[in-house]
Amino acid sequence: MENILEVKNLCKRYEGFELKNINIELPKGMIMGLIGENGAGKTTTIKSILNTINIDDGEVKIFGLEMQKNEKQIKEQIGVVLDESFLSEYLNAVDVNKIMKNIYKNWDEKQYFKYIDEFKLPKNKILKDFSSGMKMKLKITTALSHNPKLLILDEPTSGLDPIARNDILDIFQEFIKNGEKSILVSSHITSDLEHIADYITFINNGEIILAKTREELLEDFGIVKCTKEEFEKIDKKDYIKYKKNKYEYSILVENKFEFKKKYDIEIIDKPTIEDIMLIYIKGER
Amino acid sequence: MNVIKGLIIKDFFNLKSYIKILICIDIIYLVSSFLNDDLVTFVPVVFPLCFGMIGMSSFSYDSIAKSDQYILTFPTTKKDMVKARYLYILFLTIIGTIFGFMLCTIIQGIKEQTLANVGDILSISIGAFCGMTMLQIFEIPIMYKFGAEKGRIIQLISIVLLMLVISGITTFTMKTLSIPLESFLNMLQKYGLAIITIIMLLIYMISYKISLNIYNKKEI
Repeated sequence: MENILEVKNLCKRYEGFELKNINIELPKGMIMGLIGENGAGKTTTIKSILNTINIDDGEVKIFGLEMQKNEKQIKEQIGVVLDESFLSEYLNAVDVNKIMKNIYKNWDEKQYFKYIDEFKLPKNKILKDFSSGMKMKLKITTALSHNPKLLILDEPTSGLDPIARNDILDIFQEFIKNGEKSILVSSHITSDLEHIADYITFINNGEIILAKTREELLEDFGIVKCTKEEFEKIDKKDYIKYKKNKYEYSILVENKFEFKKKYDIEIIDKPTIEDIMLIYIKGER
Repeated sequence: MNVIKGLIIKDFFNLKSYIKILICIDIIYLVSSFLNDDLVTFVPVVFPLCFGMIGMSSFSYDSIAKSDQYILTFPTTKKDMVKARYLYILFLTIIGTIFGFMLCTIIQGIKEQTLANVGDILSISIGAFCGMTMLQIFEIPIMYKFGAEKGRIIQLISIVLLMLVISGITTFTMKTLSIPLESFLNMLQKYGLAIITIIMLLIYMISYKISLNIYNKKEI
């Protein structure tokens, strides 16, 4: 499968934080979810990919082209949503259109206003008077309206109510339907990623600690619930991490079927991405 | 070039929130100058000053919305962004200068005043434009270095320092080179515009390069 985005050994060092050897491969027609707690390095990874910060090491290739050498050409075909950053709050949706048609060669005014109407966004109200959900919808509209081939989205569903979130997730799925476009999306709302992401990449302390397909995570991974006595009999090699609860142990295993064959423990739950994330971060080894 | 145009348009759209305040200030000043003859000749100074300062406020708009981060995801470069900012501030100061010149000339015409002729008003306008631009040449790199918030305080300090340095250099040069004031003024009258234009362009380019250098090194 052809990759639309390739990140190799990406490193970025700050005082007190380091992004270590990030490797990402996002094939065409796929959605990759980037998860991790606040400060884990998700936004720094996105900024490094977009070359808005200077990386210390590594390589970023988008559409097969090196980002550093073909920045303008690549960025013509990328739509970006950043959680905390957009144009000034004193502009309205009509102003944004007038600005953007000078920025992108492929800016599609009709498409832009189609989304504006679909999302029921006011055209002449300044952004300062928008709700956070409306602002996010405008950011997404702007990212989609120049026919990009890759969407890079930092927390695109934050601030949205469940119905708006659902609408937007539908748009994302529609976006990748023809198999030529892809999405890299970071989100705290892991349930959203369970619905749409084909791949999940988990960043913790500036490192990728898990990169799997959604099926592998949700179907193969398991959370074993057992007593202290049962836990003591389990070989360390057979689990990833465990969490000691009040009455039981929750053990994260990579392959619940293999585990079941080896141990006589009945309760193995199907995990959510949030469960996996929690045990990875809070659990012990 | 289109991207630069887009970025300049963005800054002009941001002005909408300022326009009412700007019109109010200008109307108050115009009415006052109708009532007080002495104020008329300040019109060509006040307008470029007002417009130039408003141009500098574009840093604050972008800083509040953290727009720089977002703009860098466009098919643009830091060079385009710095260029667009310089051009926008320059355009706005030119517009202010033209307004000031025209209004002063019209007021003088209406009031049938002879406080200053068109040539004098033009000289005052050019002087005011140069003064404002001179300030911006120092202010813009400071804004890029320290950001809109810290930049404002450092900007005030640097303006005072700049004034002291310029007056110091002028006094020192006049005294040590023993240039009589009269011949110095004559020389300025003769070649002033050409000299000022060349110096301004040169400093403007240096200021732009410094800003670009600062911005290129900055982590947004």
